[in-house]
Amino acid sequence: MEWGWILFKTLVFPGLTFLLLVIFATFYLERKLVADMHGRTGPYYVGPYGILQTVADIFKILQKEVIIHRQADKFLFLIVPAIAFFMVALVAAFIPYDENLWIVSTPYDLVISLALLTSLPAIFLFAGWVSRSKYPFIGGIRVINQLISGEIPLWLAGLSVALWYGTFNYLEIVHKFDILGFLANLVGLAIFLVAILIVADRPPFDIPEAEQEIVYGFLTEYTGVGYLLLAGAKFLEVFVLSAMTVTLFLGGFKGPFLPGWLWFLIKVFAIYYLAFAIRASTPRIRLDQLIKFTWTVLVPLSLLNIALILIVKAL
Amino acid sequence: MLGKVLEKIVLVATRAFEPKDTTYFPEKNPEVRKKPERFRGRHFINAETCIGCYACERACPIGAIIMVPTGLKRPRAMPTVNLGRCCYCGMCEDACPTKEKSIYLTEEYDIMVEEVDLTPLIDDLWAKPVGDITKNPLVLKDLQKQKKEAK
Repeated sequence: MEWGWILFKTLVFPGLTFLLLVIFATFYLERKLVADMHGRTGPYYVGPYGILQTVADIFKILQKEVIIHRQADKFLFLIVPAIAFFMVALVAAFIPYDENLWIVSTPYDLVISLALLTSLPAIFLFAGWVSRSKYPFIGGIRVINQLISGEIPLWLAGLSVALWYGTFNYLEIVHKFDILGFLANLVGLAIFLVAILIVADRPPFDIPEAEQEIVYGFLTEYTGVGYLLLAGAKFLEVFVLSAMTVTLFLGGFKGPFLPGWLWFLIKVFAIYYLAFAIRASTPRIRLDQLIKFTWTVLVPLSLLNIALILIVKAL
Repeated sequence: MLGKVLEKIVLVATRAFEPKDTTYFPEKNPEVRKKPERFRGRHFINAETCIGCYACERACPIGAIIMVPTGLKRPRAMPTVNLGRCCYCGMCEDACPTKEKSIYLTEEYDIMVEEVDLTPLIDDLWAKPVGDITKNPLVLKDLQKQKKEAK
């Protein structure tokens, strides 16, 4: 019974099947919601409300030939997307979707998730480097630019929550969540939201994938399954970061009437909606603008936030 | 600066709940299907009235009409229109001498064509005669004649 439940969790609901569904859903929602914001219709013909359009697209990608060009390191080129995917999928294992719906729960949840997310840019740089091609390499370098500008506010904002609640464990954070904690962490929430946009390469910070400048960044040379895994990793990163925001700042699965996992998904959807609205409304900013913004505004603000939380906590 | 950005984001986020600028393709929205009075679309060729006079073929300015032999004495051949080549000018309709036009342009415009070759094989590329050719008065007359001669 116990083992069956663990297997179900790892393979079906908060596990692999659910994560694959999340990739489909993110892909679909991004198109549909941005279309709504533009006043367009979006996917419409395949399936009800165009839901199956994503499925058709993904199966089309799966049929494509895997092309590895001569200079590339074959083994590394093939294994990097899988590593990236599993790194992100590991982060998803720590998130509590409901009172009993989590795969792993340790005293160091937050630190482990942040560490895994911080090591992702290195993998993406590697993906650009093993491609042995100009644009992917420039894209990889730009990912490191995102790393040095985005991860520090992310860590500081995330750790301010841990300071307030006095724990790294997601479940405990969710249990201790109340309106006072929400208000105290409001600045942290704002910083975290901007930071997740930077870390997940979402517009207006999608500098590593800037189509007009460097084709598709480190994804340029990838085709077929490799591309799907890398792009899936990026979509999952968005989901995981949104889920972390919900868990840390918005009370996770807590909510009246509806079941916990539904509340969790509704909150994640709200974060998605915000991210897509930002995507549809703001143009991309430059490399130097990003670094200037993060190091003169975001990092000092998050340090001040930590100081504020320490003061309020001491009172 | 920040206020302006936030204003834009709120504007775009609320825009999703307003009515859309685009409409669904006509099949879901009949109002869009309204066409001008003399719209010229896909051809209708009536096999029951056509007399096989070749007038439409001669009138066609770009040779989109070919006469396909019927294998009968009268009407000898019937028009088939290559929809990929046709310019929808309506000359064939004007030239048709029958009282009730045997070839005319309908309002149907859902045509997906591509000029491949001139062999009438693919139905979508060709407007073919529609109807029962045995009901054509010319065919009936010939049949009666044949019967009389046989007697």
